[in-house]
Amino acid sequence: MTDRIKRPPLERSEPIRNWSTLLGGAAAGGEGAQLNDVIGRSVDLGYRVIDAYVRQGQRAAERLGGGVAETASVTGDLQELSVRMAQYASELVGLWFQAMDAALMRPGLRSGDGAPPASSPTRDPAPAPPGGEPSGCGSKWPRCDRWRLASTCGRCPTRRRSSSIRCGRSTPTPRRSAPRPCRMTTRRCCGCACACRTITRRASTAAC
Amino acid sequence: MSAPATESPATDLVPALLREYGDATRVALCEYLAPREPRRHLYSLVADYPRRGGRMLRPSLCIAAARAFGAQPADALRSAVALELLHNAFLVHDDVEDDSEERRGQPTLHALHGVPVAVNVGDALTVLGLRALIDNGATLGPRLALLLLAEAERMARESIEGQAIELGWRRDNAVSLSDGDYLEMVLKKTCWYTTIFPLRAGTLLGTRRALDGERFLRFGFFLGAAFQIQDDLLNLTGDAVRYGKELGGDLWEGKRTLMLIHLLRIAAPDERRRLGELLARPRRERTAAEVGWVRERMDAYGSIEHARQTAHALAGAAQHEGEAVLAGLPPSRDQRFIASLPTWVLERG
Repeated sequence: MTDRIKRPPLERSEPIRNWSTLLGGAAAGGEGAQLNDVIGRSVDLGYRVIDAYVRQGQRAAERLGGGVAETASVTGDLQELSVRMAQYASELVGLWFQAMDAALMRPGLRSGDGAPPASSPTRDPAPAPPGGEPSGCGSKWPRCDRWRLASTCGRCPTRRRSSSIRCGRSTPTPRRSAPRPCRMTTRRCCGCACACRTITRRASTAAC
Repeated sequence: MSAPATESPATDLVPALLREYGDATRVALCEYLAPREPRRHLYSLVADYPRRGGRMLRPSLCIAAARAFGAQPADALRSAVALELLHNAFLVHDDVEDDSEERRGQPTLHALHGVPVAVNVGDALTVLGLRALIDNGATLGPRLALLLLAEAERMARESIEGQAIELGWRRDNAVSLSDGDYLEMVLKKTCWYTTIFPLRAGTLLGTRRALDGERFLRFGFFLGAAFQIQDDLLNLTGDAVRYGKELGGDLWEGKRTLMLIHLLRIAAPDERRRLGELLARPRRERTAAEVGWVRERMDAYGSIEHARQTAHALAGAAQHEGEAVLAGLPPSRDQRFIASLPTWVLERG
């Protein structure tokens, strides 16, 4: 008589209900209860630590904001702050490019180091006015190009009054006490290919 | 009944993506580690720690989070490079502050070249990391680059504050710490730059929107804390070659790990006194026999097992929190990678 084929005994006879064993923790015999205590206490402690940390941040936000700090208002504040930061950054980038333009006009000052130079794909290479660039202009008046472009254009409303200013060399003290960049409203700014429109477009995009 | 899966994401997917994203980060890193003058005491040394290897967990997590939220891989690469440079800067300074002797299987930078040179190299790595973040402006636009910079500033500040807490414990020979104290310190010192910042930076890169202040805090905290406790366990019980650091180095340094805090809490009064006296002495005045005694007491009082169970608990909490934060994402390899990290953290050797 041949023996019947029998299935080998199963490794377990009931489903796994102790989730703490899933990650390999020991849970043998009477130590199971102790293990669960440690795990439970650790998880509880972890949540208390992180929740206290989050509450600290909320209290700090309340102190700064002067009111009840709800997540939505904090997020809104952050977004508004980001928009303002982007606007300032756009202005700074424009000024930086003008300073670099002025510096690069001088021979021997072109960058040759290993780090890649920052460049903006939206930068508009505005045409140079006739007559060439006056020497020393960029170092004294970094915004000189843009002003002269605006005066060449003649239509930009923010530059109408300063169209007589040709270069910082001839007028060391401009009509205004300090040169003011073209403020960015597309409605007010003309449609000419002057740098101020580039700044406007970049700032508008950054504000989205 | 279905056959059990032969492949585990933790053992297959995670190492595969760590290799893939790590290699991409290393290639991009070369751009910032190009040799230039002064070489001998600066730029040749700046490349030392990054070239010694490492798992590249932080940059890989940053890239994976960015891709999981819809970014292109190239968008996240500079941020990943910045994170790796900042991580290496922390390591150089950390080794000086801890007076460590070995890092990634070789002598530490200050052991080879002296503390002044090492500190300066650490500063250079920090500045190079900043450079990489600034370079984001060219490809991501100034707004997003500024948001990333703000996140990086927060991360660096939290890490420095956490390190200050730990250094203060050692300086003051703190012997009455709790597990909660340890977790608070780890949250700042380790979790922010190991898990929280990479996840938040990746989310920024993918969504291109300012973040909810609490996003990824819980998941990053639990994951980073489990990672750090496991790292501390490996320092005592791991394989010397795979671990890459000096085995038992934490005991020599008197680092307040969860195991040491547990031992200080439950040891007998005379043992606690002896331990306190040992910790009050500088490293060079401790003997191998004393360090061995501490290790043996940890085994006797179950401190190692306590830390292991805590790591498991926190990894479980991380898994739970991860399911919540990753729930809305489309299924992807990167999403599975992030979801598998709590398990991988415990299984890595």
